[in-house]
Amino acid sequence: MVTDIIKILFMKMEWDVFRILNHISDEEGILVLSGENAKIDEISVARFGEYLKKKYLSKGVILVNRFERNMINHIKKNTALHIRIISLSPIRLKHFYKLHCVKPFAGNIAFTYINTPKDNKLGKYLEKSELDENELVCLALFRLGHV
Amino acid sequence: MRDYEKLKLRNQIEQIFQSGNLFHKKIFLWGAGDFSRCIVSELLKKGKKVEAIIDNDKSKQGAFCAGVPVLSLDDVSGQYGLNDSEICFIICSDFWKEIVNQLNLAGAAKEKITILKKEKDSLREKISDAVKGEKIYKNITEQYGKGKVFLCPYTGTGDIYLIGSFWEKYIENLKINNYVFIVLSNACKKVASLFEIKNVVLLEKMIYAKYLIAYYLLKNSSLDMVILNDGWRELPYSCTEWLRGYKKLYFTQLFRDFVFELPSDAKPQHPELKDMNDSLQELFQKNGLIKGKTVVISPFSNTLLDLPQNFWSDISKSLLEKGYSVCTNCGCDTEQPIEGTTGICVPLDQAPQFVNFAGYFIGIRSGFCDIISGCNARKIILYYKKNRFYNASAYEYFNLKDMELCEDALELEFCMDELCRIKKEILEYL
Repeated sequence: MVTDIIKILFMKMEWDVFRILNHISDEEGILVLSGENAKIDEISVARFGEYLKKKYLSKGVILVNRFERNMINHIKKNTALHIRIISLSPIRLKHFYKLHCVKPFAGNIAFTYINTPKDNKLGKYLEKSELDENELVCLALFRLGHV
Repeated sequence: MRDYEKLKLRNQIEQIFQSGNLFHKKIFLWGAGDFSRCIVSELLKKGKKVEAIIDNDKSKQGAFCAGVPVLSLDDVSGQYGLNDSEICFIICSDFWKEIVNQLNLAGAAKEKITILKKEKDSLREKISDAVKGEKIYKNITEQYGKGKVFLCPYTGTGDIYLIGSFWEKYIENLKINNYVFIVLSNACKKVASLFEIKNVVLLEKMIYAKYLIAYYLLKNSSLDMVILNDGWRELPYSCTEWLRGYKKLYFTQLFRDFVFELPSDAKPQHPELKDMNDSLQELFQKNGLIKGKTVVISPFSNTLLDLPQNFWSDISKSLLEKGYSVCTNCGCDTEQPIEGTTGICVPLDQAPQFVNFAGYFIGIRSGFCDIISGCNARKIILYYKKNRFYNASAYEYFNLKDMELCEDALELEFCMDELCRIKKEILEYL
């Protein structure tokens, strides 16, 4: 238990430093691409603007695994100017998600994990129901209320 | 809604009341749901009436929540004017930021808005909760031995009934011998006792569920614990609740496919009922009710919207005139019997037998309807037509036929302007 607590506190510190260094403000929406499902990531990028609008935010930032070159190029081509891209290491991405799973550290943040942790059932919905990736992104991840 | 949330809300209301900010004010709440119900009831105790509840959900507009009309922001703006000095808005929602923005854009000044759910637990509080959760978890597992821990972190009796109806198959599938089944309320425990569920533990305080979840989250889901729900909001990564009702993802299907992961042909099973004729005979005699000719009215629901009181009193009057005895199922002290009827707190572990003994049941859709769904009595279940539950109508999501719980109930959807027709239909059916 003590180890778990220390790990989480370290992750929180890691996020705070990252946020300051990258000038991420509370007025920005954050999208974190997990790389678990490429289609989900792509659709999330495409519809991120709607998420920002719903949250009454004028700016956004996308966090992406720095080794996902194709995805980074895709985002650059498909996002508006008010959306920044920050690439980071996969381990740091995982840390931020683990922290989020204990205590969400930002008010307007969406992660595209669908199978992690083990009881995140979004992936199962994709397998077992008639829902497609676009519907999962719009209704569940971004809670837009429409597809 | 949990008891500790209610307590917190009660204290907050008390503070606002003491500050004098509500004197001579027309109060508007935001969001037709549990929190507004609680605020309405707390303010009523202090003699303050809520003018209306504002909700963006068009399906709720025009209905009633805790006896208060539900309106759109445009309606309120048109009828009262958002800059009226006597107006104040109370928001109690996780989405308060968006709501404040909407109110500001519509012209409501910031000083008119009171937010009751602004602060969220800090990471320090979450860790402190997890430490408490660890103690509770260890106490339970030490008492019952090693095994899976199932947590039902809600008070919905309908959910427990649905879980019970799949339990045998689920446990058989998991191939486990020992487990603990944790519930939050005595009502849930009673419903669980209808089924063959072992080691049912009632948490001493509801807040313990929050601690257990914090512990579970800190352990990164590595605990042998299962949260029995299709999308529990307290898990920060869980967002599947927002898919409810979309593309026919209804109550039974969600539990069968995604909570229990059973094959699609697995059917819910009602429990075998114990013979309680003697004690029921006594209860009926004591309350002047007639066996086989009593109508049990169940007018209260925690999840769905209500019907006006006069609808129920009209129905009761007609039934009494026709020679039926009529009782109201009053689950707690805030639920008062319908005028002219006997108020009975039907014990949930005897509810199916009670309704069978009575012979007739009329109720707004609530968890009680799930519990009595296997009865032979004539049953009428009412659903407000405009009432939505996530992406479906309340009827689509909760009707007992599609839930595979009951084929023989008369399930009716109603609009507020057709209550006379509904009343006629009910009386004809009986």
